[in-house]
Amino acid sequence: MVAAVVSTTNCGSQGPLAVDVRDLTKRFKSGKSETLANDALSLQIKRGEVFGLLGPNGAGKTTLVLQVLGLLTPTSGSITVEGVDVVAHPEQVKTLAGYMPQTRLAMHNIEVERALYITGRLRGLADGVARKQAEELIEHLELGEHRRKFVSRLSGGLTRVAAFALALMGKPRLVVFDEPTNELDPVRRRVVWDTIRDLNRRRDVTCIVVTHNVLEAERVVERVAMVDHGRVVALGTPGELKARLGEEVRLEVVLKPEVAQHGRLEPARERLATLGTVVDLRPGHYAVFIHRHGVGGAVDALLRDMEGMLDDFRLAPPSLEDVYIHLAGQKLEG
Amino acid sequence: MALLGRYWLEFRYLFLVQILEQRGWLVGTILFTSIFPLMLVFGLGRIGIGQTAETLAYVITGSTVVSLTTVGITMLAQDLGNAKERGDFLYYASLPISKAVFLLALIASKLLIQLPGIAVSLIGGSLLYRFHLAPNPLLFLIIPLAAVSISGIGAALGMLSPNFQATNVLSQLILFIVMFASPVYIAASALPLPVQVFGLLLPPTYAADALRRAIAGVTDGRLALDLLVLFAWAVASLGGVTRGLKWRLK
Repeated sequence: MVAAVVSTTNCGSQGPLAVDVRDLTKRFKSGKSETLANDALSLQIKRGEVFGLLGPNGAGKTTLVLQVLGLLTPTSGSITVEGVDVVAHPEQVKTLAGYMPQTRLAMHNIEVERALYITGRLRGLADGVARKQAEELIEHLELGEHRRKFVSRLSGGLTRVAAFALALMGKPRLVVFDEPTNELDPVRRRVVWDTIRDLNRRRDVTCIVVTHNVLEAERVVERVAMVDHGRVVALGTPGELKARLGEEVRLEVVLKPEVAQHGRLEPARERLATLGTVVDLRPGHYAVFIHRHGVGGAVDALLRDMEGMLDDFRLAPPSLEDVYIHLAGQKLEG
Repeated sequence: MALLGRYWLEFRYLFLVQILEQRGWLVGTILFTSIFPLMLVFGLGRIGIGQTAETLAYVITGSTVVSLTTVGITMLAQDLGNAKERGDFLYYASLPISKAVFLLALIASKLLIQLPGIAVSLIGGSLLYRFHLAPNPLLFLIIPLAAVSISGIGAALGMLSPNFQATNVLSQLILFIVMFASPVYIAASALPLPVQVFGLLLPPTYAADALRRAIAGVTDGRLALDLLVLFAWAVASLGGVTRGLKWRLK
């Protein structure tokens, strides 16, 4: 079980801060142009918390976690991880943190089992402990039949699972997962989310999850920061953030392909806009946010005026994804 | 002691990773790196008529110095540049490991592959030209020192170049400049004075001199000076990498 695999650090979720980011600014210069990746961003994450970082591509999420891990130097601001000043002592934080990056694995012609063992040794585990932990992770993440395969020969999904396992090797007190469930099938996605939850509940490891997969993350994360243009635009528990939508309900509408083929998308969208706030998910696929008292009338109008155009529609209570869509104003991937 | 133990552990596993990564083409690489220096020794030994023992010493050790300098500059820069391009640095940068040890492990793995070629060119060259090769244990010190002494340049190129193409071009260019200014195949006295002076700043000058003295069985003050300069360069390279270079992430 993962419980035996990861850190034995025992801290309450109401305890001191694991991560304290204050007025963090990061600028990238390339020739004469300059990109502001993080803009005076502040964030506090409690020890033992599962914290979600959501936001569109290029919002500054990965830049933020790279700085938290001591892998990028901030332009200004301060970062403390478990009491360690990351800006002054970036090497120290590496003994405390595990990281699952989005990039492909650094090891290529090395077997999965050996890659895990070596990573454990380099993270300071004794020989026997590293072997045991690698074995437990292989079993828990169902990598048994792939243990002797070279990392470079794994499928995209299995490579992500191997990267997930590598991040857990050692005794991390903080683990950062960057898009942990990308490319995974539903069964492995569930295993990954269960493992993250397990890490938190049973071992109080602080977890930062950077993801686009808002619907899945919602079941696991305790608090969420939504990042856009390098700033935190919303912060709170999923419940608190969903409360921002107040009395609104999401009506998701999918139009038939022929509507687009006949150039009737725009009139259809205009009709939907009379029912509520329309957000484009993709061409012919919309989320309409309507007041809950107006649901009956909206559905009636939809069926009356657009029945021939409808491929599918569904009503759902507000989700974290809806908050995300409202705030970021961007369509989600997946 | 605990720190040394930790560094030794890091070195073992990082070296193992590098060797394992090259498993697929290890035999081919060793064959290539063995045949090429021998051909160089064979070809250069036949230029002109009536080679003296002194010029043959330049030819026989020259290939070894070229191999070592290529490891320290071009191979190291390209390996690091490639790793940076692929995003591999993220993994190593996130580990609590020493950058200097990482660099040493990388150089050691490259050196291990070059060793057969070095042995072939030294032994093959001496047999080919009936040159008496004095067995000298100092070779085991000179060879790694020479590779590490110039690694700072290769590491800086690999880690700081904006992209792999730049790494490739710059490493070749710098290798050419370094080799041109170092009296590796020809005596320093045959080079123009400004080049001689510039050559005095470069580690291959001392590596070549140390090798020539070592295979001739000469253990004198000049050899000690060569080793001292190589050692200083090696310390400067590793220190520079540790202090000055950051894991530059793409």
